[in-house]
Amino acid sequence: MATQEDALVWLRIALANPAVNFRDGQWEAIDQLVNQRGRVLCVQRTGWGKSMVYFVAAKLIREQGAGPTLIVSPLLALMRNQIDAANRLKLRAETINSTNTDDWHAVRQRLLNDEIDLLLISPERLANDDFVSNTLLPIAARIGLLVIDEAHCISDWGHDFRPDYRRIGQILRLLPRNIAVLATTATANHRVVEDVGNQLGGGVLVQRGPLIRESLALQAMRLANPAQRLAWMADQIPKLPGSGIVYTLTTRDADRVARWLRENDIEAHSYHSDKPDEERQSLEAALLGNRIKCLVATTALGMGYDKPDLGFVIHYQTPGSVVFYYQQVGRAGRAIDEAFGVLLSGEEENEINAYFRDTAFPPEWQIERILNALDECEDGGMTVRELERVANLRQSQITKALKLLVVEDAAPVVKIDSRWSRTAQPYQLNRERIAHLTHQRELEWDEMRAYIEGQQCLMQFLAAALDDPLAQPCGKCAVCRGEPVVSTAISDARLIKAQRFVRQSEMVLEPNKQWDLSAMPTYAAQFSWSKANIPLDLRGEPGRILSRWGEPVWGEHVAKGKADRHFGDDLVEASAELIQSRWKMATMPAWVTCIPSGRHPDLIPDFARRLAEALGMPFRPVMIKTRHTEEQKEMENRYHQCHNLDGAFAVQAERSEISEPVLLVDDVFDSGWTMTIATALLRQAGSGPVYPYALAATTAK
Amino acid sequence: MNEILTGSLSPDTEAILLLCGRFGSERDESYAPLTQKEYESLARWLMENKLRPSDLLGSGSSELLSGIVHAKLEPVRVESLLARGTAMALTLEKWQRSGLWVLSRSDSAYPIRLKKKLGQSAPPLLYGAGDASLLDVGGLAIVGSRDVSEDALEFTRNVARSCARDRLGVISGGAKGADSAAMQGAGDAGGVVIGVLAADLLRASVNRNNRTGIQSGQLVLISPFNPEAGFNAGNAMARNRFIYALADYALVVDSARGEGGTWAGAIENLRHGWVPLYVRTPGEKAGNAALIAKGGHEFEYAPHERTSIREYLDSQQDMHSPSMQGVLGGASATTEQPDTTLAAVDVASNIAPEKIAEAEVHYGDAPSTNKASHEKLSVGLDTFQDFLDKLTSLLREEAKNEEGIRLALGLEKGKAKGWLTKAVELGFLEKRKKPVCYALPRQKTLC
Repeated sequence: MATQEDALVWLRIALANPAVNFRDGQWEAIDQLVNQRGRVLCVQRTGWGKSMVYFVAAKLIREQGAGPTLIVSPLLALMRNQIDAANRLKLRAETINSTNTDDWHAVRQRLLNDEIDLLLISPERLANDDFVSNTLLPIAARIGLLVIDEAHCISDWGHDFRPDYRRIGQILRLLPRNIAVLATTATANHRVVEDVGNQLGGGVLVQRGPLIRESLALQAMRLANPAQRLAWMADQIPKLPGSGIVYTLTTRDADRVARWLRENDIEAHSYHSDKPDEERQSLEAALLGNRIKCLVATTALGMGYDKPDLGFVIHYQTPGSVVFYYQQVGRAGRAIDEAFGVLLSGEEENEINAYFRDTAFPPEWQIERILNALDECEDGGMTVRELERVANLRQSQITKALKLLVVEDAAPVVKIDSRWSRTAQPYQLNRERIAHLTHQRELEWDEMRAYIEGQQCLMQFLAAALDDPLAQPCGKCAVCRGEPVVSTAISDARLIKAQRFVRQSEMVLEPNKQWDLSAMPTYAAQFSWSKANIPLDLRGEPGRILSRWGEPVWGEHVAKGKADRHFGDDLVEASAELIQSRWKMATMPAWVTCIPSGRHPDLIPDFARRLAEALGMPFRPVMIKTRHTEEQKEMENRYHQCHNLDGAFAVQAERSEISEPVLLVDDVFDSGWTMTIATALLRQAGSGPVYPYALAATTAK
Repeated sequence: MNEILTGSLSPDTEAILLLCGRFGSERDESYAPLTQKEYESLARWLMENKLRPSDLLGSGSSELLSGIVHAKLEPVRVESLLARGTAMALTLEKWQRSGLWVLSRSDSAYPIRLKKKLGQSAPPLLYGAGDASLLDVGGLAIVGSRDVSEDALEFTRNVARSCARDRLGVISGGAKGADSAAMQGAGDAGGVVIGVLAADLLRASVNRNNRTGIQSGQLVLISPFNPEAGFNAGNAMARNRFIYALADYALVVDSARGEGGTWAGAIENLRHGWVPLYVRTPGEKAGNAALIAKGGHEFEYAPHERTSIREYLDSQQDMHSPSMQGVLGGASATTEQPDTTLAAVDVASNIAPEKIAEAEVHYGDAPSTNKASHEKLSVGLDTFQDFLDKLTSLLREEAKNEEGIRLALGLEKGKAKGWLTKAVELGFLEKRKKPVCYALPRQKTLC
């Protein structure tokens, strides 16, 4: 039996503070874990000291001769202060994640030799069958304490549907009662607490603390137009204390806002799931060390990120739920006296959040295609690549659907040695559950909209929504004070600059580098194309895309033009300006051509002709359509996208006519295969370098 | 389906799985899971102390474990096995999600015939896919080699179809050749099929034919071995007994003589007298007549005549039943015995399949390589078989010690020791203490 005195000694060592005492509940949790090998659910705000509970418990359990502690957390690494504490306790901590695959073997060996006390892995690792069988199982035989961070995610009642966490819930259900479990979260309402508690099994000790963060001053502002929000941030962020985080809903906005802030002399960098883990880690470290003013991040930055002196958290758009919002804004002001949490509400956020809700689950038709393909296939199953061909779905769609299907209680699919098979278990899409979860998210979104209204103390609103019984008016927020806590002023000059920035939000068009020639037998035979890599002399140059489909400003114009069957002169002007003044090309094109279309034969040529005129170049429609094709947007992956275009275009021109660099124009850019194949055909026919240009991109990002 | 099969495990099953199950690869284990004998001795100790397997996981279990030395087990090993909870949960989660279930002898769904016929050598754990209630249907075990002729396959399919028509279950081993023909014939005709697999239960459960059978509720697949374990000749041998024990009668389609799994399994059944053994007559292989000489019955049923196979078998059984006794000495009496008190704490035993494979390689005449081929293995078995035959008559009168056996059979020391150990492990022989000696298993001499 470990006594409270023993535990206190370790706590003081861990914190290097001989005077410190346990906070309410810390010892009780440790006692339950160490002496009862019991289960604890700890709902406490960030900074309360949840990690001290599992560090001290891990130490004591280890002293009793039990195995190491496994921490399942979205964190890529322990935070600096946690590493220090672990070192003082002489707990040897290691991480296994996607950034350090080279170390896995060594870590595994050290675990087998019993030389590691704490192992940190991500939920996504735990949900990977190959990783579990090959790396985790051999070392899981001795785990004495299991820690589940951000445990609210295992609840179906939670805001955040995560297949990875669903599996954790099922593992917990099967865990024998001699394994101690600590589940921690900073955000859980009553229903989530009850649900997680049930999944932890009987006799779970639940601890809840107050969620209110006293140093944090909240404010919510409606600034419909993106330019207004950009201008406000450029004006106000330099005046905010320390460093902070700007949250955006999409990765594109994270990149765009970071670029804007940098153009306005604010040291800002974007952080999102498209960035490699190494870069993310170094960005986290840069923010932690106050070497940059802010990170512009999606939800990819958040869970577990604990910076004691974060000065501000600004939301560029309203996140989908109070849980999301509290989790993100609650990172500010943990160990400082003054911090700011400002929510900016924009016109596009409603649509983006609706999109997130609608695409949270793969559509039924995709699931049916996948299951049918697996049902029909030979014994031995299929790889994802093979499924792409048979089911005509994008790799991402297939992966997402399989990930959902494989964690069902009675999974209709199983992965054996990287091949997927259909199991004998009947599958019925649980429409009720999906409808329920979607409805839940709609309610959560309504709640966030009520928050923006600012009818009551903002902090109290958040705490009450999370069922904190102690919620009181904070006296610090913009509502309590009856005046802004951060100025709402926007300077005119900045606004004009921001408006120009918004109008110039073009993107680089990266030409495809590899094609699937098995999908293009006609062209492959005709031109003797034989390599999986597109030869350099058939590839396009980096191109430009003027806008995002439907987005202000130009994306809206493109959508309208497509519907009206006419792209207006404003798009011609905007395109000409981009091409002439902002697109630095190696060699300026000498002529303009465009993608032919069978459906609206004049729409693009008409636009391209006017653009050529504005650029003072000749327009030569040298490409023709030689056969009917299906709509390219119906083709869900590379195989089908290439196949649909095989033999569909031809170049009809004299070599001399086309030998100079050319601007290749299309209206909407999706997978890029139309551009890629048209480029290859032009180059094959003897054209100069091809610069692709499209008016709008539709690719989801 | 029973909730035991899909939800959390019963506390006893949980403990048994922790003690005897394998999670992940053998090579990373610091302590090997308990073998049949070890588990048996643990179970006996538990019973003597009025404990259940699940008590080993409860509070105060560490004091309890110190007493485990009386069961000839190291406390530290048992403690380590019981601490594998996280590994178990990770593994079980994948299996259950994929449609597999685990049964231990403490579960009510555990097949009653296995307990009754095998007694102590019924496996403590069974993994399966499909409707577990089918495990108690009984019926005809159909076995035969992988390399039988097309005629034999056709015959097998027809017999299996007849079984389906008569609502008689078909039990088989899921291997290529005769096994597959039997399972397919019965399945296609709408009959109930039990497949007892030696390897790769998970993989097999998603094969198209099996999947369809499981979905329609006609097929249940089981295996006493880790569902993700690959093929292993020792396991293939060891699972034969479960095919017989789950049935009411058995039919050998064709068997080689003196070698191969079909022969070994049939001989084992004759030795133990689990079920009446029928042998296709005339057969196409040398083993058929030899099996009849050793106590099998001629199977002259003509499936195409559409007479009832159930009636045929029952009439034959009435005819042969007295002569079933006494064919193989020690196996004279029926081994059916009610599950008495021991069953309450589960005395089931693990077959320790990997151990058998090792034994084959180490003690047989085959070269010591881990890739013991089927053929090489059977050479070892053949001589081992002779040894067993001689041993059975030698020990019929009285138990003997190792030296006595060695001298009586004229064996060299190492070989005698090896074969005796193996015979004990396979359950053909019992090792007694004070004084140390070897005897035919008690269960066969008692009744």
